[in-house]
Amino acid sequence: MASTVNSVPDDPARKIQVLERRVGRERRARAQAEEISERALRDLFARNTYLELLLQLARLSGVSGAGEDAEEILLRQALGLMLKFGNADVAHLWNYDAKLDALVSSGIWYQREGLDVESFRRITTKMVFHRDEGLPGRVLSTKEPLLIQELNKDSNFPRIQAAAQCALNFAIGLPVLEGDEVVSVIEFLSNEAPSNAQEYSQQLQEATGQVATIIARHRASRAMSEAREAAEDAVRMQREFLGMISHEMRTPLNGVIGLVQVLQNSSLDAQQSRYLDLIFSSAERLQGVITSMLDYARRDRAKSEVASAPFGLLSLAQELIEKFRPDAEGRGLQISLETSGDIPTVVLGDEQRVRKICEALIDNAVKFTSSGSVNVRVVGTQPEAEAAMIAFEIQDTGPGIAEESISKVFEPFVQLDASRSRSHGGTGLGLALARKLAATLEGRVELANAPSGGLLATFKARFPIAIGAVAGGIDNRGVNGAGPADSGDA
Amino acid sequence: MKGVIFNLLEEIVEAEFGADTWDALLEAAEASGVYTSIGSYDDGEMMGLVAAASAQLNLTQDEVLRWFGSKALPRLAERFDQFFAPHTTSRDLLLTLNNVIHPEVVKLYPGAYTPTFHFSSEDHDTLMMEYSSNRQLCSLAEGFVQGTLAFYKEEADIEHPQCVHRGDASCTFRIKFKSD
Repeated sequence: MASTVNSVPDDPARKIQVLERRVGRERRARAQAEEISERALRDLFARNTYLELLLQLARLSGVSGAGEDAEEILLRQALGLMLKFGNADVAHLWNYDAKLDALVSSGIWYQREGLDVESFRRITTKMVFHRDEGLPGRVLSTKEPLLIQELNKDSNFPRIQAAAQCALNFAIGLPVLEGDEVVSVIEFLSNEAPSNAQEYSQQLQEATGQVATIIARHRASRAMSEAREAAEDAVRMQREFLGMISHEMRTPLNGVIGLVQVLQNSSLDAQQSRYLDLIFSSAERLQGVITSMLDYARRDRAKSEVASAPFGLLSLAQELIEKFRPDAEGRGLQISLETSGDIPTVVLGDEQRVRKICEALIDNAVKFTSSGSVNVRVVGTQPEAEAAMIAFEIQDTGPGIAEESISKVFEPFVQLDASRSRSHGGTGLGLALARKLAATLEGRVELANAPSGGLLATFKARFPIAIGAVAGGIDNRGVNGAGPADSGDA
Repeated sequence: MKGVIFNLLEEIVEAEFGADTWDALLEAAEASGVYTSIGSYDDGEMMGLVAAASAQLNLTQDEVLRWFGSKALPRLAERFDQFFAPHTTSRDLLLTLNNVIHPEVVKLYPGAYTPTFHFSSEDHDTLMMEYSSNRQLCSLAEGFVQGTLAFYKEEADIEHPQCVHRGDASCTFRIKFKSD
């Protein structure tokens, strides 16, 4: 076989040509191999980076923490990780509000360090996007990721002016889905589209699953603690009521028993005497029942324990303001929050009790003020390094209270004016409960007529400062990406 | 087709007939000749080379493929000793094609397309092997089987009772081992 094909060229020039061709082939093959392996390496690196992102997000979604603060911190860290992965400048989370059927800012914001996008942030966090409006609204409707390569050429991006001012011209919107429902929308903005924007957005979309887990986890734990709280409240109220009723029944019953005994010593015929004995034994039985009811109520009261867990004073105050805002504004009242002094961001204490106390005081202020405003002030002083004295002052512009009635309003079931109770609602338990709860926290609730008119309700207590908490006022919270949540290795 | 197959062909042609023959085949087939083992190349390029060899060597294309398969096998056995060493007979090795050898090939050469085999036995000395592949390179498979028999120093008659090239639905081989 070999002889038929062996054709070594004798001509040296031809020979050189053949050899050069062989070398050329080898060289090209090597270049090809290098290119293939470089591409494989690049893919591998990208894959690793992505897996690293998923791993870190999975870690975050596995962290359990108490309260809104924990959720906010975790979500901001998640946004930070995703921002870095996608090489974006700004990340922001919108939450779906079912009542409005629209997206409202969660206030959770992450931005690349050293970037001035303040004007865009200010506008963004104030906006509400309904379906099909702007980037978030379109994502809400389609439930699909949306890429806008050039914001200045997009006709449906209402924040374009602010975005342009901050040199943001590329955006990705991603739905965070729970089942088939959009619970949040994450948006990423940057100066210009990265070359592999499509791939990034697809991978980031896959990563939103972890964000959904964080949100769902905290919602579930919040719902659980609220349900537990409500159940405990109901039971507590029942006991209070039981104790109250028992007490109120015992007094007249003692009168009945005493008078029956007096009657038994008077002259009676046999039948009257027998009737009287029956009344006496029935009354005694009733007294026994009431006594055991009172014992029960007393025993239960002693049982409840005070919690001590980290929570944010200011976020709690803000939450309360938001909770009462619809009611207050519905009554034509202004409701506002002020802070002064040194207020630690995170303290240790029984958040639910503090919440209950403040709710009772704010509720009272809103209910009994017909015009003007309700102002909540959080005043902090730090007499020692590890604890802060905090006063929640709720000042209204209502009618105030007659001095002699101030102590009376703390009695359960008392409202100063029965007709008012009908028009204002409520059981009259609120302030009594607030004072009782404050006592369990070694704090005080006080009412006073303010010199300027209206009622000033104060709840004051001492709170240990949580380790790692940073002091600051209301304006540097959840706002500029400079808090402790951001400085971490996100 | 993966570049590794082209590399094997080149090695064998050069070893058997010299580098000039390989040059001549490339020229005749108008093939680029630039092959790297992990790259992927058009199947037509391989068939062009086989056709060129067939013309130059005065053999049928099936004969060229069988020759290539039987010559390639010892080289594969040298390179991938881990697949051959655990076995002492061709039958044992062939039975690992679907579940061991080809899955490993796909790991080494991502994107590689490998044929599938179906085995059955008519009696103790016979192995029925059905070959399915989009490439329809049954003769190459036959060459590999011949090479395997030689590697384990066995003798067998190989019949090819059904072939897609003869209009059958699939390709089958009857391998009748000769007992010592």
